[in-house]
Amino acid sequence: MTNETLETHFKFMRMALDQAEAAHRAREVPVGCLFVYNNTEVVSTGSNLTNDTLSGIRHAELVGIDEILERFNLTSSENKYDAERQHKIYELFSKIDLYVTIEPCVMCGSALRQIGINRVFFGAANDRFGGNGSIFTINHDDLGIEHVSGNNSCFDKTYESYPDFGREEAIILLRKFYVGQNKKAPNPQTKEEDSRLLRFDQFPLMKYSKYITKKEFLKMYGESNVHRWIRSESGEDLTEAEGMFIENWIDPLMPLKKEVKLEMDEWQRKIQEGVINENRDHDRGNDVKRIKISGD
Amino acid sequence: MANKKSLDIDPKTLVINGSFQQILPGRIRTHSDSVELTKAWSVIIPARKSMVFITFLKNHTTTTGMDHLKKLRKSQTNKSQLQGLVAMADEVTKHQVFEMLCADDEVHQELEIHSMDDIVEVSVPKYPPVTQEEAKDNSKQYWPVIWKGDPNIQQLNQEVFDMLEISQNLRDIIEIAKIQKDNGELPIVTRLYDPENKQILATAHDERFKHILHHSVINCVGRVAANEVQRRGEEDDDEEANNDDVDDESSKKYLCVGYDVYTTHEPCSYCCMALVHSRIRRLFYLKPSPKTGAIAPDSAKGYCIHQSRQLNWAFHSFKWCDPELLQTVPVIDDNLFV
Ligand SMILES: [Zn+2]
Ligand SMILES: [Zn+2]
Repeated sequence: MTNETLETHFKFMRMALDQAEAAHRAREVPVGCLFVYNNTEVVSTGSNLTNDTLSGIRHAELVGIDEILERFNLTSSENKYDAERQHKIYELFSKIDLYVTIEPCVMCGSALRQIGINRVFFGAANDRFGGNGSIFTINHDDLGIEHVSGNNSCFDKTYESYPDFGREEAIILLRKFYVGQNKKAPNPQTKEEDSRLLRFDQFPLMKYSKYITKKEFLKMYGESNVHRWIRSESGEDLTEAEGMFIENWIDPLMPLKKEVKLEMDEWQRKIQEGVINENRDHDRGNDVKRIKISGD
Repeated sequence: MANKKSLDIDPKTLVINGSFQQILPGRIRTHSDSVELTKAWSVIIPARKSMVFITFLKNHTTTTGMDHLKKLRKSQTNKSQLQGLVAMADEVTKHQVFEMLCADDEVHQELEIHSMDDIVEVSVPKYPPVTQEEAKDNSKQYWPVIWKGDPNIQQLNQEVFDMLEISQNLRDIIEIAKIQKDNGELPIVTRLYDPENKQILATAHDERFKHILHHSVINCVGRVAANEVQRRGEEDDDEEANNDDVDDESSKKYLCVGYDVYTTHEPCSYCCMALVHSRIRRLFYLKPSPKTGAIAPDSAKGYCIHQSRQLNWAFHSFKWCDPELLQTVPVIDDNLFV
């Protein structure tokens, strides 16, 4: 994994975003993911299925993990401890990276350390349920767990989780989901915070140090991107508008797909004309109800 | 019928009816007797401008978790000044506080806020006081707090605790756990129970040797969801009424709202968050999991996932205290994610 480039990560995240888009078409919360073996081979995909299954816990990551376990025959019909199978699972996942459009929640973040994932790459922060730095650092915390010999079911492995891969597009998908056709007239008393939901051209600044160290940042994104780190750390020196949002919504690292950009322009127009308003029907029980990554 | 007589709650330990203990962060002082503090942002203002400050606070919903704190105190150095509490430091930066105050010309001029240096960090008690003495102590030592009686006790008194039902459910899962142990499986068992209709919804044991992530809590939640999918499928077969948009009919169950969870061992962060996502009502558990549990303040990193004020759902959690019953719960390895 020495010759990996940022481009490979973006390429895989593009595929994860496609999964999220498919989820959106299926009227699910648009979160998608991709599991990649050895930085080359896609071993499974997943997207949120909470609406279809009526289960609040069928998140994209868990769907993707299930697919891997099935595919590599790592489940059993008998509930009996099998050291060899257990070992195979950890061996396999130690070479698998996860690409997911939204930061894993506390639940998935914990599941990922229990199966021993190698690394996680995510798009947008999850301010409501995030378990990789936004609310809890489930991926980093040292719990002092010993891998008791002779019983490998006691397993635990911390992992790194890298933010900001395709973040804008991940956020746009979620905003699209929560902003839908509404028969009622546009609500005039929309709160300021809600109105941000309707904006497709503004993205809050991300605080990288919540998720990774500066050293890790530079190693992953390269010295040439050091200004992004500085900007994210020193929100105080920016003007009010800059401090809250990145002005230029086209990310130089991972630009939006052309179709997405065209679609955004169209949505923007409809919102201005009052044809579209926030859709509250989907408000219940969905992960990441509102992505409002605060400048923090 | 449930015995709706008033509860016997020890305000210090939160042990209810002498049988189980409520687990509430900031309330159970197991590590030390000191109060947990947190940082907040404050400003020094001219004493005669207190109304301007109070109006400013009213117009700006700043941060949560400040309800138990008084908004103004006397300046410790200058009699003609007051110190006002603006926001909690874990939610907004000093810079954001400054911007907020400067957004209104009148406010920052009258309050004499000129630079970032006028915003001062202070240590305040993180949680509401438990007793009146504590309220007095906190006010003297850290920051003036408001004492309105104990809201937690008031809330607990609204709950119905049917002791027979609770102990029966716990005894049932212990018996199943014992059988699991004899079978060479992990003796972790969970039950989802509907206290309103007195109905067992699902009882499941740990099946991680079938599937590495099939913890007992996850299995239980999954089974309830699968049952609801089936039930709705049958319902749809009966009546072909198609109404796609409206799905807030009362006949449709929503996740695990209103349900209680009984489990043999304090659940891990994966399972606790699954319970948050499922919107359960109450959790009763038997044995603590000091290394991997995500409920008790002294378990693992003290996540207290059931009462995190940043998550969108909270539920009550109770740990059984009766040592006689606890002794019968099969022991598991401390290093295991329950
Ligand atoms: Zn999740
Ligand atoms: Zn668990």
